[in-house]
Amino acid sequence: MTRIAVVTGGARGLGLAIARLLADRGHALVLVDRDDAVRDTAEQLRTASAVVADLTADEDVRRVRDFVRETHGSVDVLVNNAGITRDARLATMAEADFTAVVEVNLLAAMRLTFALEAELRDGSSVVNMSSRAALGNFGQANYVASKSGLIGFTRGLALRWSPRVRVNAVAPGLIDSPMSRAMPPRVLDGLVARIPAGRIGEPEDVAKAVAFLASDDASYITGQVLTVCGGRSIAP
Amino acid sequence: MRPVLIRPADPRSLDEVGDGLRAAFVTVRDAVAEGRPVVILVRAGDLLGHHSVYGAAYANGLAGIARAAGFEGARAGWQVNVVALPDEDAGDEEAIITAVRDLGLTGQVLTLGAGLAGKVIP
Repeated sequence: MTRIAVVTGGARGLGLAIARLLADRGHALVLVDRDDAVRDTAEQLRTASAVVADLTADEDVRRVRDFVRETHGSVDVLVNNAGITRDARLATMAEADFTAVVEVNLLAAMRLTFALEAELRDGSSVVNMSSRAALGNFGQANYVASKSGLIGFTRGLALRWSPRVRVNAVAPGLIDSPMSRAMPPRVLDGLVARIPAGRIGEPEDVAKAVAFLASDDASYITGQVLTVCGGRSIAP
Repeated sequence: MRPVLIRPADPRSLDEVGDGLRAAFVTVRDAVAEGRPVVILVRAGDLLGHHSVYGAAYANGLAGIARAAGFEGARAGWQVNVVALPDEDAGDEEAIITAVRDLGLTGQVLTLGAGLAGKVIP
């Protein structure tokens, strides 16, 4: 039976890498993004359909749920990947920027997950995209709070939905992306030099971790955080 | 200087999680600007999701704020920490808050009691 996976933030970047790998492994996909580009992404992947939605809005969340219900009936994998950044030093960070990041990265993921509770099949898996930054990062109090909150959500939900649904989180470190490529080369080189693995992460590194947690190979794993950072989280 | 104390109420909805985190962020931002230490009190069990999903998201979000402040403000002398209290009586809270201030820590999550012994480090 074809497994159904919902991936948020699926238009590009990490979400696209996750979608590609899950498609390669036989999943039918529902890609959700507020960026129209998600339609092109879905077309390229062939086994995917797209829903353009803003998951901070209740009506859009209901629309995603209705689409999933009508198109597939149930869900095997939910990947809460959609996220934004609004970086600023804590002392000058605007309240609105704090709220916006928490809304998208944390509350929207919780809202969609709760909305899909009835559609998540027995034995299904939720994977929340946290970040190594949940341990602390410069100029990202909003992002750190949201990604740390997502770890709490993961643990709390894992305890409540076990054994029917597994809930885990992946916490990527520095990953090759338009954002990392926009850094001054000297800054980027300095960050990479502190990674024990000796290289920047690729989106596929993260996608493999997500695919593992989504699969039956991880059937005894719930409420956990898999950190994919090349060892950065334990380095001096 | 007496620390600014954040003692969150138990959230019962997504809105309360968001509002609580926003309010805590503003309190921390304003406190460090004034050079005041901050102590955030949470229930230890909330860090691992023992009480409610909302409480878990909230408590860990608060820990994130403390860690971010610790990461960013250590050199400037900011002191923002989380104390995770046991579900049973924690003892003299005033003494705990004073002790945390006097230790000069920042960005830490200090778990009191034995309730989380043998569990994941929050």
